[in-house]
Amino acid sequence: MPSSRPRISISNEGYCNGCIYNRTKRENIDWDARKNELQLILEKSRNENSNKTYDCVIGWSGGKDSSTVALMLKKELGLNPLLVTFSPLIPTVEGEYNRRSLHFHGFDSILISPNLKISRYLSRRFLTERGDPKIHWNAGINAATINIAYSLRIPIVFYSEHGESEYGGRVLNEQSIKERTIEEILENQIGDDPINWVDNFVGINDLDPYLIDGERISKIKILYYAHYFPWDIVKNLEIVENEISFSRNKRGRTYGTFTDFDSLDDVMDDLYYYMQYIKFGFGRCLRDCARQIQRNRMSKKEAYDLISKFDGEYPETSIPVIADFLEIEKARLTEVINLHRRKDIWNLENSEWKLRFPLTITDV
Amino acid sequence: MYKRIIALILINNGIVCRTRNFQPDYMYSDEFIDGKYFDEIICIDVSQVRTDKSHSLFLEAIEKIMEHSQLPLAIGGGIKSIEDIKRYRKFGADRYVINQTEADSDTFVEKAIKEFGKSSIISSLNHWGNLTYSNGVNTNKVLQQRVHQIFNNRGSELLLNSVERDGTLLGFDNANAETIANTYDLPLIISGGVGRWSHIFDTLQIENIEAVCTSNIYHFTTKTISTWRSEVMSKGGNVRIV
Repeated sequence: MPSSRPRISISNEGYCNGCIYNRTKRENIDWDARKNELQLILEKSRNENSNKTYDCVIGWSGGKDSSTVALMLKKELGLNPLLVTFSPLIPTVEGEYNRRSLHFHGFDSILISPNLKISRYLSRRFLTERGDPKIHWNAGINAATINIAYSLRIPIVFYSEHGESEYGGRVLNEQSIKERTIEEILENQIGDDPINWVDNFVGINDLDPYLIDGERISKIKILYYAHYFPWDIVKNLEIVENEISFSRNKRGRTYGTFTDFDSLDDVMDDLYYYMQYIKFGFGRCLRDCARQIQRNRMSKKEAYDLISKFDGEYPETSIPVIADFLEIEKARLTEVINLHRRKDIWNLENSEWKLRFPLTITDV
Repeated sequence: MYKRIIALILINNGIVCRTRNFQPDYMYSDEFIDGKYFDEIICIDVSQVRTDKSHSLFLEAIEKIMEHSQLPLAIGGGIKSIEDIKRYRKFGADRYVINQTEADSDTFVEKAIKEFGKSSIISSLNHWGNLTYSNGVNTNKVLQQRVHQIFNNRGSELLLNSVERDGTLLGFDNANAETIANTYDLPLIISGGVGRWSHIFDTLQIENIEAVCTSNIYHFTTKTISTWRSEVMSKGGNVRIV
């Protein structure tokens, strides 16, 4: 991954910490021992006050990764998970279809749909201030699983993987690659404490779906599935497509990349990833290619060609839908987007934005 | 005297950044910095290697930030000579932050105070817990002893930067700040670790602490800074009405 990815570290040899971690992980891990370690944690966490129906909560979007976690925990460990979805900002047909497919496969789920008046306001605010329309959603998906697990006395929560170690970023400490802590949530996932979002429009009660309660976190264990089982997004897709009817992107290809199977549940993701390109100079295609190269599934030449073709593609048909959700004029949206271009990454040449350092084949 | 909230804006090779334990880790566009709800702005050049190029980018960034602000400006980062101060002075800075973690800075600070006056100089000390922190590592020098030496030099305000808390959102290092505040009659600015508004309120309750710095994402939450000011005032806190 490129050095402009936030919090990433790059070795002297030019490898990012995600690649280094993955090479070490794949070669040296005794997965049976990891599975036993997890079973011990599960046994230890159960007590007479625990929920009698559900063994764990899974933060679930209905995508290939979180659905794999649900399927595998049921199949491999015989767990009965409760799936918790924090509603996408702008749900898609594919996302809804995929969630229903897993429901039909035999899972219970809870959907938390927060007040859209507040969600719209926060989304517009965070897009403007931080170039990220999903800051509050990142808080919500954490708060939802924690609050449901706490309220229903379910002692364990699972998330898919620890992004900072898997794909590059900052690993706060050794424990943080196994368990999600409040520090991880506030610092790396949200970058802020939602309690700070009170203003003239948003009251403290409006923030209930987003507030992260440290006391509640201390009563449950929040684990990463990928620490205990091999993790490979392409294999996850195979697992899910073998088990359930799974819809890929109906457009045929997701905006900004060559894939059709990733982040399908929220139209807002098209702006989220476009903003990644605007802020950091690399888009969704480069990210997807990096993951394929890491697994030796793609040559550098192939990656370079795909990145040249798709990276930073403007999500043309999604923009009006997003502008409507945000209640923002399209011209103002364009203006806000452009204000997030940093001068060390972009040059304005003849009214056209150009990357200062466009990717070359030797960079890949 | 009102207690103050200062926007501490860190600039790495001309780009506004967030830091964790003093390491730049997230870069921002400078289009959204709005200083009007603060009392002062401090801009620090945190470039790892300082060159003429990084210096001119630093000045360009400050110029951009100050387009939106009429607040007093302090500048710091690599100030080593009277000439450095003069350059910033021409640029419109009101105060200059000089790192005094190492004792070899003392003679220079004395000279600077003589030339520009006490109120123009902010002495800055970096610390990790109760030890001073210099060149990327903890020293074996006790923070309080170093403050004692600076106190004897009688500088102006003292900026205490907790490197340990920087970027963590866990709150200011009140334990060490309070020890210094209780021992020395010295106006203190505390920096590093603020994660929520109550952290600011709690730290400003400590006597002798005149100001706190917010950094990182707080430049982007001006709306809530104004709300926070009203809340502090309703609790009887001593802050300026904006």
